[in-house]
Amino acid sequence: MDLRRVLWLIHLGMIIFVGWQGVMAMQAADLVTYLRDVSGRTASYLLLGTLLFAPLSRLWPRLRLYIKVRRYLGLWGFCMVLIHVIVWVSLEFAFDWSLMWQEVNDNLFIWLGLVALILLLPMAVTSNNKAVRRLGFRRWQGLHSVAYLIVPLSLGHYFMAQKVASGEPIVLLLVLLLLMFWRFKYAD
Amino acid sequence: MPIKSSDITPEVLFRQRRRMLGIGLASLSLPLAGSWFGDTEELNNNIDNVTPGAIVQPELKATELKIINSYNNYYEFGFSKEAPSGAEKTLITSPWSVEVGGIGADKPGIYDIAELHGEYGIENHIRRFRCVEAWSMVVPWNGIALAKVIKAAQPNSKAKYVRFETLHDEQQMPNANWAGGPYIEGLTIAEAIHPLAMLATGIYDKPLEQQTGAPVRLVVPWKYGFKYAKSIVRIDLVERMPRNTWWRQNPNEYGFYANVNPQFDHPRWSQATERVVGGFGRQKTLLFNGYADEVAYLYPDLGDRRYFY
Ligand code: HEM
Repeated sequence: MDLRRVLWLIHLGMIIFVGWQGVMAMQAADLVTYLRDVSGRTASYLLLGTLLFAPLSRLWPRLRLYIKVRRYLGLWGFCMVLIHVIVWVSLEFAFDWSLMWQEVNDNLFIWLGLVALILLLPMAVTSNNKAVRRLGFRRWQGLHSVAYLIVPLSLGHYFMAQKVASGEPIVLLLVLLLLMFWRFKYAD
Repeated sequence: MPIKSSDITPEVLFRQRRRMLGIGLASLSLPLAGSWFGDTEELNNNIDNVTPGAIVQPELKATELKIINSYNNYYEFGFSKEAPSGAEKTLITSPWSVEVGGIGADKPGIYDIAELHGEYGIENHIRRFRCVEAWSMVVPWNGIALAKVIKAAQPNSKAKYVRFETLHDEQQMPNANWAGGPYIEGLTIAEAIHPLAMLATGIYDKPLEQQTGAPVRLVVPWKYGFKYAKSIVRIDLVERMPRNTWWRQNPNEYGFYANVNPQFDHPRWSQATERVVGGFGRQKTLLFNGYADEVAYLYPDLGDRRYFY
């Protein structure tokens, strides 16, 4: 399939997904937790997904033609994190900054999320061709390898937010572990 | 030696408690934390004096029934908040019987829900509900005083703790085995006869739903929500501290007492504030979930971490 069509489908899919989740959230028992959790989870999938490109395109070299898909997965992941945090700041904490600060300090898992968010910012800002050109490919690539820090932080955050060690974050963490293993083995 | 509650309870707090309880709990020598109950007669006297109706909280605004019935933790029916209310109605709640017994009960018995209602009368109480996951609701419960059921079992000197067991049935519960056996909860005998402890059978004058623990569940408003054992089939008066399910699941994070305390954080998150389900913003969590005046005397050392996780 032609790359432009794939990108178009991704955007359309995400827009429909966001709208649909908005409708679901209105029907949920608790709007705030629903929005916060669904955006957080979607962000984790998308961010982890970006790291799958390197190993998969080694398996299927044709995937390299679609490398741009990775950029948009990352950007959509960033959008989801923004929604996640905006929900937290506005609906959950009603802009009570001192209470939020206390909450951040009391919760290691929120610290992990916050660090992940901060590291995501420069990546999101430089996810365009102009930035690649301005920075030069090597430096740009160096900057974007921060993803290998962001994803473990996000998944650690997800894992720790649960009452009990639960299946989904563990599966995601295992996928990540495999990925990292591959990364070190075949680093080029 | 029995310790007098007045010995360890600050005077003001103690007087407040007596005011709150009205004529209830006339005896001033209530034993503490269930660790000691030398005198069965005294225990029975204490139970006789329980008057749950004395604790009223008109200022609380109850959460909507729709929300109470659709935001639940009931792992036997699924792990997300929405799963229990979305699950097929496979739980057979009628006929249902609750067996009361154990080594500490001189007069074991088997009750059905109608018998419980008929014998002890339905009480209605609006109580705060605080989950260990830092969210909360306000629930208008209908049910009976747990103390009355315990009294009927004629506790003897071996009745130091009360153990609650949830139905464990793979046919009726899709995740019956998530914890490797039936869901177990426990209280000290002193906690169990406290006027705030009840066996709830309804919410908003409607019978409990499958997802809220039909047909009968424990309510202990000063403790975290996981203590509120659901769909109870057995209540035993026992001598040793029951190992409750969450304690067994993760002893570093969950214990036996699990009293609400904003100062003692969960190892992975803060307990200082809570989200009120269905609303916006957060509110500060209260010591013993706002019932400190009523229950603090049960716990001799409020600095003891064991009481708060
Ligand atoms: C890369 C950044 C982040 C990702 C991928 C992420 C992802 C997630 C995920 C997957 C969950 C669990 C949802 C569930 O249980 O279904 C979660 C929960 C949560 N996150 Fe994040 N998050 C990020 C950043 C942040 C930040 C910056 C904050 C706050 C400043 C935050 C606050 C929370 C809170 C409060 C919860 C809920 C915990 C609970 O269940 O009580 N997250 N996040």
